[in-house]
Amino acid sequence: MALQRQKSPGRTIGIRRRPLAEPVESQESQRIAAALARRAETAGQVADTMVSTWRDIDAVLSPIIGQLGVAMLYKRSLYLIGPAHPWLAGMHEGKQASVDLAALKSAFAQQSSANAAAAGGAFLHTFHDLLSSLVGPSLTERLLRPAWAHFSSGPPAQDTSP
Amino acid sequence: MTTKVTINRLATGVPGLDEVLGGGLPEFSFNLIAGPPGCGKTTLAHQMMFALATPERPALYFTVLGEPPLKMLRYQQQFDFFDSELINRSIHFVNLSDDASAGDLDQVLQRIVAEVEAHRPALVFVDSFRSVVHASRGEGNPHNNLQQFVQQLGMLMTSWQATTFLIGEYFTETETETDANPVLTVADGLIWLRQSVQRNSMVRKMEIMKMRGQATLPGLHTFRIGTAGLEVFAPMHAALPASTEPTPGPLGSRLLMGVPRLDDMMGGGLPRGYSLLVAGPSGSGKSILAAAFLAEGARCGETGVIAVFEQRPNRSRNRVLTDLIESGRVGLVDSRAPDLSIDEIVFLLLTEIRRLDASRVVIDSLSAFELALAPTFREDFRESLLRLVTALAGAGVSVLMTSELEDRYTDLRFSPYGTAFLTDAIIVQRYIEVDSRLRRVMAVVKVRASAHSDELREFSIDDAGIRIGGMLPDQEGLLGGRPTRKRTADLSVPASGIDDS
Repeated sequence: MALQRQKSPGRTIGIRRRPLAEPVESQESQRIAAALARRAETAGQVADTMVSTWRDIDAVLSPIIGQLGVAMLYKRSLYLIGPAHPWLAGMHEGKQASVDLAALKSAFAQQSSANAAAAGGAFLHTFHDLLSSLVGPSLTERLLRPAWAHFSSGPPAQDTSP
Repeated sequence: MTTKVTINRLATGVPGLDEVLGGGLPEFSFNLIAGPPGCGKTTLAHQMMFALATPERPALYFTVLGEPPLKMLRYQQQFDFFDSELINRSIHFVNLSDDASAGDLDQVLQRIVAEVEAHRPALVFVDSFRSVVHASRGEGNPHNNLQQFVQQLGMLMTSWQATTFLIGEYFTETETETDANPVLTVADGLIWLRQSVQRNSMVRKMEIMKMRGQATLPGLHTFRIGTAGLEVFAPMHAALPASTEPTPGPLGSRLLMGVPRLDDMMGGGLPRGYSLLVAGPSGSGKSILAAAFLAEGARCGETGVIAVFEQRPNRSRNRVLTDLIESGRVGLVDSRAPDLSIDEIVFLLLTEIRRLDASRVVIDSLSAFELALAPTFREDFRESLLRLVTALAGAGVSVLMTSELEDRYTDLRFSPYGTAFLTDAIIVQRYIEVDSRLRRVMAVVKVRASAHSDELREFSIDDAGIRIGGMLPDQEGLLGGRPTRKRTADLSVPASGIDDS
């Protein structure tokens, strides 16, 4: 079955066939990392950007897939980038059904700015890829549009709420 | 006085459903879509939602526990109607599981109210409303909880002028009766979906058990789910335009059969609008006769439609027929889909007839058609055939149907189904043994309200098609298959026209 069938000619992010279990520092995550670095110079600013981005993601996704759904995607993404960024290892553990942004912020703030930007790029990209693998790139793009505006390489996001 | 309220009817966007509903879905109605798991409830809801939702008339789709919303979005987008761009614009998904898992039905209702106020939807879906209630920890009878929840929701949505659908799984019909009764009272409409399984075949069926304010088509209607979503096969009387009702009267013009001398035997050809059954054993030339019938139509500038039910595709077909199909003068209905229903076949035929404005239709053969039908429909095959013939007659076409007939020499049979009375005309083909050869004979058994030949004529088949010869007056007992030479016959007179092998 063609799970990635695209209705609208939207951006395609990531490579569909790449196994999620081995996230590579792809061009896309480098691009997101670069965008992060542009917006945030220090690790603390990267941490703030991560927190605000995840707040945005939670705000657009949890009404649709539930808080638990968002938390599961968040943890799975952390788990996937854990091997490449050992200082994030263990963050996906725990039973709480919500996103622990305080822990995320403090972990990022303790890194060098380059490390933080690279990990942040990989984290957001892996999450984007994960969601795409579940609901397809075009719906992912549609759902994340309000939260993804800063990192988008496509046309600027439009406020489409009625 | 025109002060009565006018109920708008919404076009559901599901092919055939509006007919079954009796003209569309009443606006502001409060409906239930029920059925066992996997019967297509969520797909039906999504298909209607994507068809009906606009930025001005947005839709709210509440998901509750049960199927994770990510999975639902993953699978629903496989359908053609799913348009990602509509989401968050005219379609809003709202997950209620966080509210429902708290176990407080009032909280769920409040959340629904808040979302309805925020989005001002014209369409509201709750999938599934039963899991809302199952998740509640409310004391007392769960039936009462369900009834209360549904009643409050019903009042709420009606005053909000939202057309509402509650989706719920019911495993058995007895469960519906005992459990859903209070809910049924509140609902304006109930769309019940089911899957009928017999042996290895599965047929999807839909029943409109209730739809306030309009006359729905009663009974079970088959439907399929394909990449475009649901397609409901409404019964043919609903699908037929009333204007094509044929007016009974004197026989009009006649259609030529395309076989020399056969028209004479039929009293001048097949009266227009008649149905003709060509019965005979395997290999006797029924399909060739059918092809000649279509070719003659094409020669006269008419178009035709042929329905074949061969399970083996691309089997070498009659050359004449292949040319006709390739040139577009004959439409081909070649459904190898499993588990056909009579309504589906009639739908396919009528669609093709209308597309080509066809006047001649061939069904080759009824025997293969019977096998193509889902087992659940074979039991009333006679009734199915009657509906098929009636529908085609209603469309004003002339039909030639072939029927495999096991050669039996002990009795005279015209169709294996006892359906000979259904058709207006009958031609029978038989094998006979003469001088250690298998020969073919043909007779016109019946042409309703018309004189026709009673001759049993020999015929042969060569490259040019069917060649009808003469009678075999020196033989008797032809229908027994093993004729004998008449003892009293004048042996010096040879039988005419039979020596063409």
